[in-house]
Amino acid sequence: MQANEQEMVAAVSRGRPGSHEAVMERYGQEVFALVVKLVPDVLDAEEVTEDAFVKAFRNIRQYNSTKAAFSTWLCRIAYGLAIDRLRQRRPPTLRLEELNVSGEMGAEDEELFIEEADNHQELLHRMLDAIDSLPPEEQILVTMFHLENRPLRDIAYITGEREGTLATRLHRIRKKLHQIMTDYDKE
Amino acid sequence: MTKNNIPMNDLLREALQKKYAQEPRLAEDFAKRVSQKMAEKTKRVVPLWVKYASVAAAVVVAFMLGRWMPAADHEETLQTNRPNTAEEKMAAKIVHKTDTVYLDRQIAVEKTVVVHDTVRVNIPVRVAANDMPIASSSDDAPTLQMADMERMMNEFVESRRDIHYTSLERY
Repeated sequence: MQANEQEMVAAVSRGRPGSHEAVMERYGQEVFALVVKLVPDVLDAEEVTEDAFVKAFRNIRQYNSTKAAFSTWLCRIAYGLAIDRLRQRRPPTLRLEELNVSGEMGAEDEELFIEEADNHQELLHRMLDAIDSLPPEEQILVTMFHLENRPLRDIAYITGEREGTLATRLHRIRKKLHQIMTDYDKE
Repeated sequence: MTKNNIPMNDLLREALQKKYAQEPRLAEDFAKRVSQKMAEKTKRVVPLWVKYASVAAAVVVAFMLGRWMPAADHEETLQTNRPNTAEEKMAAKIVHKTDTVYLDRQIAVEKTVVVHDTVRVNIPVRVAANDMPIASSSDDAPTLQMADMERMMNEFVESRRDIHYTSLERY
């Protein structure tokens, strides 16, 4: 943990005036960026993010710097609250594991290809549609891994899942996306 | 013409970048909007050391005052109908520590009572601590379980409709 991050955590746990706002200012955008990917309604996402910080401040003594960076710990809390909010708002979705999508590969160990279209933007829109068809929990996994380049270890900490399980899920999600894209080509 | 194959991961990343292109602006807006709200919310977060320090200070004061005061009569657990005497009004201490209420055993009470984590009531109550269902943790600070305190407070409120609440506030 960086020195000033350590100081920041210590200040919050001592209740130093202004320390909460400082934490919010430094990590607010990162946490909100995670939450808004799961909870697309901006007002809901703001509320979840605020709740995540309040919960973090109340439980600041439970933070263990040897397990994860402070920002990762905050994201873990926010992820849990965002998933709770999602479950309140929508009917349960079928998890990918329950579908008959084969594959037990790791997160990085298979390269899939898509045939380029005449119009690249059209291909991009098809991929966007395919991503949107995934449940939010799967969207956030590919986002954290492929867009934010978070290590699998951190994603596992945030989501509370094992690294091996996550690697398999990511592989299956990619296969599912690939299947959607290639099926579209055949139509 | 032969079309090229492009790695799906590249396309996936590009699509995600497009999907979340608005996100940095949203995050910035969020940071601006909530900074004020967060300041208000976090004001309510009282650090543990402050709570513990308050408990310790109140126990010490109660103990000191208890030594100077004559022992209270062994009255009923809650004597609510009698006027408060100067003695009763003095030196009453109830402090809240997690789920336990600490009383000075010798002193009647007319003080702030924490009824719930978020609600406190200033209320004139006469309590003879020796009659309390005590789960003692130390000689100087016999304890009263929160549930018992709440029950007694409810009984008290029921019996005194004309009670003067010096304050009833949320904090």
